[in-house]
Order: sequence, then C-alpha cells, then structure tokens
Amino acid sequence: MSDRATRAAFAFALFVAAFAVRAAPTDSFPGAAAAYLVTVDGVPAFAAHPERPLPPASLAKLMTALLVAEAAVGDAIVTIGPGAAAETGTRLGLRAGERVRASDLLAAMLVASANDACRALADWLAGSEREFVARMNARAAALGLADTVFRNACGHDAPGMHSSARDLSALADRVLAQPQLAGLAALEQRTLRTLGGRTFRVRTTNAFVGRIPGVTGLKTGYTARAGTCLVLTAEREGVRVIVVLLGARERWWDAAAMLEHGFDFANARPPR
Amino acid sequence: MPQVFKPPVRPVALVAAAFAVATSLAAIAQAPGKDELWDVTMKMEMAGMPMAMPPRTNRVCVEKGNDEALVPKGRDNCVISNAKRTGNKYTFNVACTGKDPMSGSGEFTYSSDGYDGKMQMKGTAEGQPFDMMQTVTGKRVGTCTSTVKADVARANAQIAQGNQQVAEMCRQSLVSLNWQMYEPTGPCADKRADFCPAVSKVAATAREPAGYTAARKDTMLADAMGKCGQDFGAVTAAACAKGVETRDWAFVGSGSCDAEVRTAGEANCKGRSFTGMDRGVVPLCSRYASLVRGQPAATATAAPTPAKAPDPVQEGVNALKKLLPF
Repeated sequence: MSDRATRAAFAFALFVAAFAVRAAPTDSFPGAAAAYLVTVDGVPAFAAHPERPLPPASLAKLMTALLVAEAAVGDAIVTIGPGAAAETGTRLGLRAGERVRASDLLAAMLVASANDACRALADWLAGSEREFVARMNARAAALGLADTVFRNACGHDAPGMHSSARDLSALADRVLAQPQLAGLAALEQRTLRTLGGRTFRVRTTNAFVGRIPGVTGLKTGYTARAGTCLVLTAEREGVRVIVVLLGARERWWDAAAMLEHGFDFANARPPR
Repeated sequence: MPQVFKPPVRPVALVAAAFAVATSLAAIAQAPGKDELWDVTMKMEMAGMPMAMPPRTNRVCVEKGNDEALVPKGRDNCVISNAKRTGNKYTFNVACTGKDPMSGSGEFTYSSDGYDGKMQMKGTAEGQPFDMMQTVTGKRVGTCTSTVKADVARANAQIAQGNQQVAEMCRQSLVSLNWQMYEPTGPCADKRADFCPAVSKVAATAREPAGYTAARKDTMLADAMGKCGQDFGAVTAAACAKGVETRDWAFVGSGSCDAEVRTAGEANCKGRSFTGMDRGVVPLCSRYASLVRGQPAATATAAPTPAKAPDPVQEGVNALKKLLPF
C-alpha cells in the first residue's frame, strides 16, 4: 500500500472512529452502580462500565426462564427434588416430593424470585443443575453474551459466575420476546397451588410493576457480592426502555431516574 | 357547442401541439367493435420555415358519427364556430384569443372510406406573424371499440372518489388538529376558517388532566395552538394545577408538569423509599427522581464542548479532505 493510501485509510478510520465516539452512551449517573446500561429501543443511551463482568445475582434467572420457556413445557408436572427443597434465600418453601405445575414454578421464579422454584425447574428440565448450567452457558454463547458465565441456575454467588449490563440487557430483550415470560414479568401477584393442595400467593419483587405507567418487568436481584441489581423494562407509546443496574447504590431511585431520562432521550431524538 | 383550444406560445410549439394531439388520439383502444378505426396522416407547413415537418400517421379509434374527434384539437382560449356539415363537407372557423391571438378556418371532405381536411391558421406569436397550413388525411381501415366514454366515466369516478377522500382526510385532520393540512397550500386550505375554532374547542377540554392527556395522545394540540396564536403553555399550567389539586400523580408525573413535580416531589417523595411509599404517589416520585438525579437527555446527547476542544468528526473530515481527491 502506498504512503498516500495508508494515510487515506488512517484518515478514514479516524473519521469512522469519531462518529463512534460521538454515538457512545454517556455516563449521566456517575457512581449510581458498579455498572449500568440504559437502552432506548435497543440503542445505548446512558451507561457506565456496561461490559464489566459482575455477579448477576437473581438476574441469572432470566436465562433459566428463557430456557424453560423455549422448552415449551406448558402444564407439565414437576416433582420437587431434595436439591430444590434445600434451596436458600428467597423461596416458597416447597417440600421434596411435592408436585407442582411447571408454569406455576416459572411464575414463582419470575414474579417472586423463588430459588426453590428455580432450582426445581432446572433439575427437572436437564436432570441436574450441573447439566442445566451447561445449557445456560451454551445458550449464552449462542446469543453472543460474551461477558456471561453461569455457575448455578438461580444466581447464587459463586466464583467465576458473572455477566455484564450489556449482556443482561440483550438477554432481557430475548426474555420479553417470549409472550409467556413477558406476561409473567408484568404480574404484581399470583396465586399458585401444588397438586397436593398447598397454595402460595407470590408478590412481585419489582417496586415499579403496576405502579409506574408502562413498566413491563423484569427482574430483581440481590446477593452479598452482587449488591442490589435490577433489570427494569418499560414501554410507552411504542418506545422500549431497558435499564440494567448491577451493584446499585440506590436501586429504585436511580432506576426511576434512568427510566424517565430514557423516555426523555427518546422524545429528544429527531423523528425517524 | 363551442370547442375550446389552447393557443400556441410560439409557432413551433403549435406544430408540436398538433402532433401531440394526434399522438394522444392514437392511444385509444383499437379492439374490433362498433366504432371506426382510422389512419390519420397529418402534415404541417408554415410560411418562413426552412423545411416542412414530415407527415405523421397515427391510427385512431373514433366513435361512430363523431366527426369532430378527427379534427386536431388544442385547448383553452380557442373556440370553434360556424361548424356545419353540408353533404360530405364539414366546415368550421377557429378563433383564439389571449396573448398570441390567431384565427382560421377548416374544411373536411368525407368520402365513403375516408376524408381530406385542411386547416389554415394566421396570427402572431410573441409579436411575430405566422401563417400555418395543416392538412389531414383520414382513411377508415376497420372497426374498433372506443373506450373514450368508459375512460371519461372512470376518470370522473376517480375524481369523485378523490374528492371524497380529501373531504374525509380534512375531517380527520380537524379532529387530530393536523395544522399542516390546513396550511394555505394544504389540501384543506378552503376550510381554514374551521381550524382555529376546532383548536380552541380541544384546548378548552385540555385544561384538566384527562382532556390534556387525550389531546396530547390524539391531536397535535401544542403546534396547532401555536399556529392559531393561542397559548399552549397556559393550558398546560391549568391542567397541571388541576392535577396537583386532585392529586392525580400519574398525570403530574407524566412529563408535562415538571415544575409541579419539583414542588410536590419535595413534599411526597424526598427521603422516602420506593418500596414503602403509597402506590399512587410512585409516578410522581419516579419523575421527581429524574429531576434530581442524572443529566437530562438533551445535555447528555449534546454535551457542551470546551471552546478550544477539537471536534473529532471535523478533524476526520479535514483529514479526509486533505488526502482524498474529492
């Protein structure tokens, strides 16, 4: 390549890079979280460290839910195993040997973040949690979630388990594309019943579902290592905003601000 | 009934127009049928022109008995008079008024299978006199089915349908307050007088939250009020005040009442937890959060640049301009 051509190529690269710099999302909420990302119709609007690998806490359940939905298990009956019954953290209190519809377990996992429901689905669908986690990682790779590695089905802290705001935003988009999951994520509460007749009333862990216009979900998370986490999704007048917070300082206050700024961002865009 | 002709701007244009007429006639359908199929040859000679235009023949389908269809026609400002048919002759006079007046006469002689015609026109075009002779020879070559009547009927139906659609569009635009349709050059310009009263009517309902929300969703109220010289800000202020008065926090927090959100948010949201607050106040506090946290979208997308800071895009453009031959 001649010297002139080399310089021209360099100038063109500079030109392209300049646009890339200008199009990059801004950090409008410094220090709000260890990482966050706000996308408006899939376009990053605000972000800080969106590719930073961090523990996802219960946001990992989004992948579990996706795999269950994609398996189209319908009203299949799941028998609770000892592993699920022994789950810790947020749980329904399911007992080993109880039989529950898969759709009810899915609801309990998404609406109330129940770890026993989550583990029961994982064990049942893949035969073991270990096998299920392998499926989760394979699906993550297939979706191009390069910052994501799962070590368990439900988001417990574990060495090497991480995801990023960018990956979780993309995963949220996939989850919302599943009508069953989108419907569950928008529920404020649900009553479910084991085949043995025990009933559970689960309430959403999302402080904004049913309370802020347009909010459609999606998942909360907390562990000691991850801190408070959230994937918040909302749609107003055809505009979709997805907020992902990992290790948030004041999760709900910042999520609310990010959501509103996201819609303001959409309104400020030139018409397409 | 007088025929209307269009006067030529220049003699040469007249020649072109005559041929254009013949060309348009040739487009008539020629399937076998009850009408007459003609080969029409036209020739134009004009005094002062160095060479005559070559004759041109077109095949024309004419409704039976419609002799005038075989006469070359122009449009606008020209009138045929004294048209009469005597035996096998059809004669007429032509007079054109306007910027380039001219007049003349024509005579067509019919035989059993054709006709010969000539038309002499004299006049001035752009101050220059001209004398033109147009000869037309027609030969009946068969039968055809003219679609003129059907075409006219179809065109009229389309025009009527188009008028109906415009009327419906204007009606809808009046409901949605689409001011662009009522601009002086817009399709509803003849109904402009209806527009601002319709805007005032919607504006009156928009002074309370439900009406305001509906108007923002379904109409272009803000722009329309501006076009009519009305104060949309006053309508917004009235609706927001009503929202605060009735504690309609979903409305107050919807993005149109940020001044009220600041005040009401201080009292109802500041220092409180979202998980513990009354659900009705959450939309207010969500909006309040956006006013006290983060930079607004406009600032974020167009962050102020230090005066002397280089513009990376412009730098790239400049670098390309220096290096590339375009």
